[in-house]
Amino acid sequence: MSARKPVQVVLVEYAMPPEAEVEEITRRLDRCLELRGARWMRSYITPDGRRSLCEFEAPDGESVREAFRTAGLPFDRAWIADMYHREP
Amino acid sequence: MGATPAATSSLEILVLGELIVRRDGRPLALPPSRKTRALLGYLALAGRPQTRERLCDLLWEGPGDPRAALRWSLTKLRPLVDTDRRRLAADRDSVAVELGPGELDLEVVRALLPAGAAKAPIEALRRASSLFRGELLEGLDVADCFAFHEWCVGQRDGARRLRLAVLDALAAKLEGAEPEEALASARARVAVDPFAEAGHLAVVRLLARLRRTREGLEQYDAWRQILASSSGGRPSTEMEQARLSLTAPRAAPPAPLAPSYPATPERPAAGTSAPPLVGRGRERSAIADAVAAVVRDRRRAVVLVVLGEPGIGKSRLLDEAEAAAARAGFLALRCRAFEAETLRPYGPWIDALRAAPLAALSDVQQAELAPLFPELGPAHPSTDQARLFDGVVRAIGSLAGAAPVLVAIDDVQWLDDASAALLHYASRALENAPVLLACAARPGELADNPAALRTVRALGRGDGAVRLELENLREDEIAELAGRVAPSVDPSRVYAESEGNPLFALLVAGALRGGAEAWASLDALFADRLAAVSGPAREVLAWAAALGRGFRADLLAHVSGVGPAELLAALASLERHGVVRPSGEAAWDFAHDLFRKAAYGAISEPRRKLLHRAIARALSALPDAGEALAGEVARHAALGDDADLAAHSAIAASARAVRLFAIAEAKEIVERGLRFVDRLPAARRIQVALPLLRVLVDASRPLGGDPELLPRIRALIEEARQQAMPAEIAVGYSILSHAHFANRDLAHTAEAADDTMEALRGVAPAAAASPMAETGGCLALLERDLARARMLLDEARRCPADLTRRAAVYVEAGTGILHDLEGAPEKALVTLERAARLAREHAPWEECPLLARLAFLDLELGRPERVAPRAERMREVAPHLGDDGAILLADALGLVARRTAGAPVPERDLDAALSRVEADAKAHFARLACFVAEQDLGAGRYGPARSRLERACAAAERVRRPSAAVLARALLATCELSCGDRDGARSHVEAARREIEPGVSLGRGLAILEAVAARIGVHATSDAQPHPA
Repeated sequence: MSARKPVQVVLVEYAMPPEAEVEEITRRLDRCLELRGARWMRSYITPDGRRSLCEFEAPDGESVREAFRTAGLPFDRAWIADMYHREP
Repeated sequence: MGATPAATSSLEILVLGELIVRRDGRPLALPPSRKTRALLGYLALAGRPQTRERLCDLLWEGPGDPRAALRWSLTKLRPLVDTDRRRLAADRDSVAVELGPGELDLEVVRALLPAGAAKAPIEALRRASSLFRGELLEGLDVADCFAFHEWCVGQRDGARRLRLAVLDALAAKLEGAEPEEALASARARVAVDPFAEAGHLAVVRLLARLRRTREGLEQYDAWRQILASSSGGRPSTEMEQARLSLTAPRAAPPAPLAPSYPATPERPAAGTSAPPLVGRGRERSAIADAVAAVVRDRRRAVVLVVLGEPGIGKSRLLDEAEAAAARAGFLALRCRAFEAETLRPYGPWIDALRAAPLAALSDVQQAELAPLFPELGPAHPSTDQARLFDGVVRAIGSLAGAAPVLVAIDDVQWLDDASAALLHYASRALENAPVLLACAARPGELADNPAALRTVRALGRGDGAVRLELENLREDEIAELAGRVAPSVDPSRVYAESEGNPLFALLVAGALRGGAEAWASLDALFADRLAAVSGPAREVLAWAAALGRGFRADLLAHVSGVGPAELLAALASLERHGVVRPSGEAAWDFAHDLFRKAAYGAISEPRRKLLHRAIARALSALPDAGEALAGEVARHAALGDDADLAAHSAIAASARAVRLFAIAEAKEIVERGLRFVDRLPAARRIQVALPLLRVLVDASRPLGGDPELLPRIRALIEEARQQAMPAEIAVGYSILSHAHFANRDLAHTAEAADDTMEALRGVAPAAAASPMAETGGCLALLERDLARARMLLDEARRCPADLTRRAAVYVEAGTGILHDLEGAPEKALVTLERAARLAREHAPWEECPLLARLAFLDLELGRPERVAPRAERMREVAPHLGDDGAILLADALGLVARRTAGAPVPERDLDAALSRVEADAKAHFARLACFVAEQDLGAGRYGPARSRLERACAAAERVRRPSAAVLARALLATCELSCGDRDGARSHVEAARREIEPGVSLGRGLAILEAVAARIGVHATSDAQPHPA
């Protein structure tokens, strides 16, 4: 594990929206995030495409939650976390 | 072949038919690259220097290196035309083919008719007529070069008119003296332009003069049938009179067949539907080895690349590979690319995988393939091209777990870009699976398809690759082949004529067996074989050739209108002649693409248009004509010159390509659609062009946008404005907003979204209300552009019936926040209470943030007792919404409320609770920390107050909430002033001033700032115009 100061990220668990709405919601979410100085980093999606855990770089957890709410995308959990990872 | 254009010239370029270059009367081998041949045709007909840029635009538009492609083509042309003297003149900027008199057949015709056809002598007309062999540059259609196609259609039109003028003049001049020859000319005219009544009328009149009543009636019936199937009109009075003159004295029996079909008796042909395989010992053992290696190893794929010229036997070897694989228990997935389908993304892969047991795949694998096969259900939502490729590879890998898999792709030179990329990927990703990947391609034509060329090169270089370059057969092998299909013919003649090409050998053998003595060229043999087909089969042949790909019987019946029984009989007849062969269940394809080419070449240009137009309409009328067929509809509509259908179907076809990540194809489909858009009436043009541009915007997203789209969209919006089409203006702005977003230009995205809303308000106020409420609420929450937020929210409030329930929550929440920011806490409380009640039912995720805001107001208004129930409600609701942050905030609010009410709260507990909120919700922390610090200031605890305020300030600035930042700075200034640090206080006031935008209200913070500023004798705001609270 890295001995350096860990990076703080925001993790959000949520159910994927219906396929027909994905594009519009993603567009809205991206804009809401950007307005709050947050950005999407990566996602982990289950093979059936139904569940997703996404990582965001953001000033705080509420910015991401607010962006999800405003974009109309409900989430199951959203929390801030310190990220540790293996040194290359 | 008729008269020679110029007996004295050593070189002749013949364009009035298939392109032929002859030296001393003997045809030369032309470069296999179609674009290179097209270039020669163009330069020969252009007659003057052409800029390199123009030539690149004409034939090599799109990605790649057009100038290099042009240079390469010129190196192939030079040895062809620069024989006795230099004809190809090329410099840095331009290129020309300089031909002398008599070297180009079209010029010879023009020279024969200096004063026009009508005034030309009979001999000149006869000679001119003999020089026309078919359509100008027959078969030189270059599928993906629209500019060349346009030019070609125009030139063909001109050549056709010239030919018709010659035939008309000839028929008129010979009518009295040589009626038989006049009749031949008139019949030729009908063949060239079957849709003009004048030609049919001339034939009927000549037949009446020759007293050939029955043939005359047949001609009349043929014209009536053409009218019925095309325009639905009736023959003219002149034609009716001509018919009466036929039947006046003696009536003839009605004609059994449409007379435009040559009445050649049907005869069985050399069977090409299952041609024998002769020779190829080395190749056959390589195939057997490849199959055996896959079976033996089971962990290694083998790639087989078969290369060779048309007719050399590539497809036959793929048949052999399929048979060998079937014997070894393989699952065979076989497909081919079609020249007409270079814009059908993944077409061959879709055809191949349809034969696989897709239902046996797991749900996940089916979801991955769903973009290609909509019937498999919804696609995986996060699909991208890599995932689609992986999905195909995993599906094949999974199938290979049960039995080895053969993937055989024929005619790779015509693969679409997306399929070529997938083939390349699959060859690498499947290298450890029991898979035999067999491909066949014409190397000469690969040069025209850079994506396919790259893939074939890469495939051939791989470790497990076997490259089979097919040579012509030896004389003894040709003799054996000929002996199998026509034992009585002279094998040495077959070898000499075919030069060892097995397909040509089969045709030559068939022709010799049928009694033919001589033929103009090998290509003519295809035409001869087709000419033997008669009656309805000939009609079916034309439809099948126009379809441009393999076909199912039901589809062919639908587009051609031929009844099922008649169609099956016709297909059986075509099979007997070896022209088509079954290619699956109730599906057929041409036995060789050269047959398709010949059959298509035999159709006149005007008839082709009608066929394509009818196919496009029939396909678009199919009940399941979804996006998958839209590409075909668009292609046929374009060839049929049906501008509306071509443009309109391009929308669905290109949208599908975007969904399949075939971005280059999508762009090309859109641009083709847009070329037709200009021919539509103004209103329709706008309605079709807008969605096409929307697809271009979507296509630009993966590439980070395309600023060049913006002026095109704006121009359409302007057109819509001129046409007074408000709905289209709104759509235009919405597309513009998407385009800015694709360009990552958020400021303009918002601006265009506003314009959309503004436009929408004019057209559909109801539709605009909810977006206005949501935007207004969002702006208030972010404390940006508050005047606009107020305007939008007020506007939305005026049409409550049109608001969605969620939007109604935003109207109340946004308005409550504005009251709060404007320093009207009581009004804010009432409005936010209403918002929280609505949210509980219609937008539950908004309830906690609203409760928190209400709790802040309670604290600031000195009603701490109200906070506990709100915090309790937050703790109750938050877990259901996954809002862990709300629980942290509720805890902190509870502690602060207790402290405010005078209960003992350990500082350590308070600090810990505040720190947790600080990390999770900085805006809430800032407001709460300011409140606590204000209490500290009141109690003279300046140290803790300063520390909390500095953290509050940093947090507010980090999340850009000016109200909290100004409040924190104002309190910091108060703190420093209380400690006697006037300069420190001044610097905080100045920092706060920088946060304040003119005209923006910031509630309590601004009031406190003004008070402290007055104490140190400075202005609170830079414009010295404090906003009224």
